[in-house]
Amino acid sequence: MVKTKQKIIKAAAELYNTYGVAPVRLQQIADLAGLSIGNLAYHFKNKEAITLAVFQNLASEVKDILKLFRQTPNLLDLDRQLSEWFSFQQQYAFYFSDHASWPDQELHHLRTQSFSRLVCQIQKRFDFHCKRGVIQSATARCNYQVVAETIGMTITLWSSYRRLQDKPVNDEKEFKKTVWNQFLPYFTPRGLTEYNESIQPLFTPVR
Amino acid sequence: MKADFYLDERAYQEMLDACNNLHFTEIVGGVVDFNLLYDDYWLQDSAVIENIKFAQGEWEVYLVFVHYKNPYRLIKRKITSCFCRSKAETFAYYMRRLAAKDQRGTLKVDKSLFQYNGN
Repeated sequence: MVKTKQKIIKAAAELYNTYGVAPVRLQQIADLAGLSIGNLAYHFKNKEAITLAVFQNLASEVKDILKLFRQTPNLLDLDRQLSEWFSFQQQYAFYFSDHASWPDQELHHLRTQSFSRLVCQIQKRFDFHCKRGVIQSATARCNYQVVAETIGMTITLWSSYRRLQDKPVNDEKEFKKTVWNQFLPYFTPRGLTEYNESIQPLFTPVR
Repeated sequence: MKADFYLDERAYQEMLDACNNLHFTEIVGGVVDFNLLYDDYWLQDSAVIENIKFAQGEWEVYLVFVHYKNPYRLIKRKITSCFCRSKAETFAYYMRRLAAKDQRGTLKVDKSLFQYNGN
């Protein structure tokens, strides 16, 4: 059985994702959760408390996604993590795009930390695949730290960018293609073969 | 309230590096790794002799493994050390019985095989 608090948090997250954090009213949250305002106030004293609980939940979800780092030594490992990032974005795009509504300094720090860890993980993936001979070694002209930052931006802000363009945001293949395309120029011939064998088939429709 | 555990940026990077390196250090074993079976095969036919000596205030227990036909082929390993001589002797007795192929100690080394010349 879902607890009332969880129900409220879920409803709030859904509304924040649709309208952003600031415009959502307590009445809307109560309506979506199927509760009265009085009952809502019993569980959370105000909107700040709800927002804090939502962001705490999200921070722990992000931690879980980051834990998926390098469970298998191939490209599919990143692809699996990308799927998780995508479903996270679908549900909680405001986590990375809404900058004005941070209820707590500590949580804000947690978010910046999770972004820098995401970038760090991508960079370490580059290092790992360089060692495996799948990705070219870094040179003065190609600095993987900058590439990792760009890929991190794509992963976190992809759906916001698509919304700006009025394009559908629920296309997982498109999301993955955008991210993988940024890896493509750095693959060695061996890396390209591995990519064509393991990742490319995921984008082609099954007949 | 207890503060959350926090890993700083550098430590996190080092952790990921270690995670990456695991792949290159933990490699699958090969046939060569089984060489120890051939190299140490002679130990099957060795006599085990206990050896106790007093060093730095403790009684050290050693076991000497000697091949029963070729006594020049031997190894000596320290097993433990005790503060009391009788305890060390008991240890040595049981450890020898554990290590020896024949627990009764029938596998013995013949002194004459050393071909020791007193001149």
